[in-house]
Amino acid sequence: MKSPKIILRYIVGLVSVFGAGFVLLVAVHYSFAKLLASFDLELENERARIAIGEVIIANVNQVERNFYQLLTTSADSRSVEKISQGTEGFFAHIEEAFTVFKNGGSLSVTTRLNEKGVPDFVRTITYVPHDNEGYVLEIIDLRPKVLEVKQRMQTLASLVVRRNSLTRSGDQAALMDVRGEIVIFLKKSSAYFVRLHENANGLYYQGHKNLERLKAEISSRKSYHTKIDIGGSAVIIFGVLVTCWLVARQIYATHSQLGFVSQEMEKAKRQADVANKMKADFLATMSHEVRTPMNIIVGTTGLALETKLTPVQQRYMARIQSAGEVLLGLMNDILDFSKIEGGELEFVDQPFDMKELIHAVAEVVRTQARQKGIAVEVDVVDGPWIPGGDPVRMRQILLILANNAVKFTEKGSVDIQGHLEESDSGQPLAVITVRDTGIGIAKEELFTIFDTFAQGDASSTRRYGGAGLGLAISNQLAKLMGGEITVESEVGQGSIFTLSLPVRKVSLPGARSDSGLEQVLGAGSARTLDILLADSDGGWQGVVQDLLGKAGHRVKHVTNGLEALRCMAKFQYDAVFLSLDMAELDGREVAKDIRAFENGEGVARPELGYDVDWLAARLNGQHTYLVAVGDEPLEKEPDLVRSNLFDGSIGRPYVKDEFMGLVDGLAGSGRGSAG
Amino acid sequence: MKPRAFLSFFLIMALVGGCGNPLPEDEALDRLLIYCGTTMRYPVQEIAASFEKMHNCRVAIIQGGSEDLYQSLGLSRQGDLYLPGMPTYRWDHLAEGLLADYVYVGDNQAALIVQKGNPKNINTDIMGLADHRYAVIIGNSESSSIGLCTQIILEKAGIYEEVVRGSIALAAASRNISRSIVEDGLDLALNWRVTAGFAENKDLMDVLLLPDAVAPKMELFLNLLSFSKNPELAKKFMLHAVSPAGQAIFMKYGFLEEVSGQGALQR
Repeated sequence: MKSPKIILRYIVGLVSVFGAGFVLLVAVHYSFAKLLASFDLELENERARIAIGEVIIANVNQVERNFYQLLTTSADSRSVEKISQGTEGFFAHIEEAFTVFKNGGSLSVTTRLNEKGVPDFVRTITYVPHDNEGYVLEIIDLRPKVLEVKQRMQTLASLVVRRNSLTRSGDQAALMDVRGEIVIFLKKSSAYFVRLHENANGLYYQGHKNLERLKAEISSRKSYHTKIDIGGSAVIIFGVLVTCWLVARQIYATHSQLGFVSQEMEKAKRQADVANKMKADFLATMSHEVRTPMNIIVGTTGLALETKLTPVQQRYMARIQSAGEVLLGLMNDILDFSKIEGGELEFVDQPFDMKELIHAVAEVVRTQARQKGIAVEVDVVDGPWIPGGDPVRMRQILLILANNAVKFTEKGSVDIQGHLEESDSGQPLAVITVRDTGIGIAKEELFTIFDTFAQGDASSTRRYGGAGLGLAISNQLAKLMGGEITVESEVGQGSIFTLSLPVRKVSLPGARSDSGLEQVLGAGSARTLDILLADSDGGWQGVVQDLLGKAGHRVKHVTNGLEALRCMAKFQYDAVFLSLDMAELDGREVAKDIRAFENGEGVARPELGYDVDWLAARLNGQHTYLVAVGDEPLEKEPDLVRSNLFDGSIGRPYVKDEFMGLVDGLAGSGRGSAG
Repeated sequence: MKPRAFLSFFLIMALVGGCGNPLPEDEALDRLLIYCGTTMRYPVQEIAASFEKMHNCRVAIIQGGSEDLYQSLGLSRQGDLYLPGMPTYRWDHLAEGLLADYVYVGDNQAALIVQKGNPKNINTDIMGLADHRYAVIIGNSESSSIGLCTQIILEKAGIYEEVVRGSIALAAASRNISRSIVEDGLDLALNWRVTAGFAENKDLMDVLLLPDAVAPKMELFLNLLSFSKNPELAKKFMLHAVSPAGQAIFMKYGFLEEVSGQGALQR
């Protein structure tokens, strides 16, 4: 598996190859350009060599002209000397040319233009000698002859002076001898000029030949090097492209691998989600399956505790009930945690009475607190407005905090304080503080106290029991509701848990003291109720029947929704408890049908047969008090809350007090028959 | 191929390509400079060409009159070998210390040269050079070996001064004499016999051979210069010149009558 780091390395490598290729191209091109420029320089140098050769030829011509010019003068020695001196300049120029040939340098050549106002044209020839030759043919060949001619110039000058002198003196015999001597001298000297010219011309020709050869050679070299330049560039470009291709292929392969891995991960995630869902479903099912018998155990035990028992039996039954309640609580925690993990939780937003909520929680934990000799104090400050939020979840959180406070406190008290406030940003908040005088929490454990399965220490688990899910659940719930739980604690000094939840301001003047249920139920004297209980699980119906029967109510029990409707067609009930998970026509469907018939919009179910007319006649214009029975209270089913099908709800692991509170409230509302 | 290996590959390719050169670099080769009498230039050039191939070197040749050449080498003190047209140049200059080992490569012999077909019916007589009816040219004794040889022959015949005065010109070297015969249409010249056999001359002139007693054969010595910077290579050239192959070349141009065994260096 190639990581993105490797891709980055490839990209860096690619950029490096591009950079190296570019530098190489520039370097190759630069070196070839330099080489070609050196060829041009060499060519220019060879031209300079020829030009210097031309200068030598021109000066040799001048020397020869002066040499023969000497013969024509009849002047005295001074004039002859002047001609000789004039020739010195040409010899000097020739010598200068030899020096440039040998050592390199510049040679100035003046060309007389013979134009008025135009200065002589002076050009400079610069020559760099070939240091490899070690000798200069021009100098070797010409210099001795130039020196010889120079010598002969002087000899001729003296012969001419002598001839002119003899001419003037009239010594004819001597004059004849001198003239003969001059003729022989000239014959011999002419050979030197011939050789001088020949050699100078030969060298000039050789220079031209060299130039042509050099041109051809340089042309060939240029052509070759241009090919090399192009070839080299092509090789470099090809190399860069191939490298790019290789790198691109690697990147593509890596990308494909990443894609494959991503698909695999997605697949694994889907599988994990499915597994998670299955786990959640399993937990929910198990919870239902375990909680139902547990509820029977707890309910029956409660009933048994109200019968005449020996003290020992009383103690045993109390233990069974206590253990059953713990087990039920644990199951609830696990189910809640599973739902939080699965993101399946939904929250309702409805007005609630924070005072009542806190008192109700306090009341729940007081039973245990009383057993431990701990006082549970409640102090709720009324706010100027009714809060809106999810009271069930808030109650759940608070119950966990209060339970913990009682659980971890051996003496002293548990104080629950609540108030409404607004944050600095204007957000309405419900703030509830649970303060205990318990064992406290070590500073280093404060950071992990909200972690899953975390308790203060291992000994706490052994001593106080519990799965360590409570605080994790409450913390998660608070966060999901946009709030938080903070804790302050000191070992041996107790703990302060503060729950801050954002709420909504609800303008319900005068309604603050009455909960929704109370509004519906109102207050009144207790009566005998006719209750229809529809639940497929018959295991606990005996418990409920005993419970209600003991309270003086009449209970009709059916196991499915269809039977419930048939019963309702024949008899009017004060309250109908409908299980939401009946196999045949569950509570929702039954409630929908009932509400439809009440509104005169009922649709006949063929399976109801003739009962439908009776049902329509009995329900039309009425409002039946429907209670949803499920694994969770109705408030935990937001869609049901929104549908307004039910007037109340109760979770199946019935807490006796809650259940009976609901029924008693109903009995007092004037709904049931008197007696 | 890994990217790194490929990068190295094309770097090397580029460097090899950049350094490659199809033309031999003259600058790096050994060099010889030979001072060669004009008459012997053809065989020496031919031998030099084969020697360059054999030893991968460059041989430059300066040609001219033997005395001129000696003056040049004496003045420049550069070069490796000296081949004058007469042995006199070796023996006369030996004391100066510039000439070292030598090899014998052939012979020169002076002869009368006339226009092709000898239209003036000139006799094989050295005295003809003093005949004022003929346009005559001879070599300059102060610059060339043929001039020196001419001076010796004519002084022996007692006509040197007269011939000098009567000659059209005193040529710098044998080639100038040949050119005067061809280009200026001169009637008679005293020149090295072999020059008439050169390709550019053989259809334009004839040779009138002189008896050995009048014009003795002159040995040709290829001399090693004492200041040679490359004496080993120079000696190889000398041995190559006197090798059967070298001798064959000298024979081809008329300097030798036959090829003998490998010649040797002499001191």
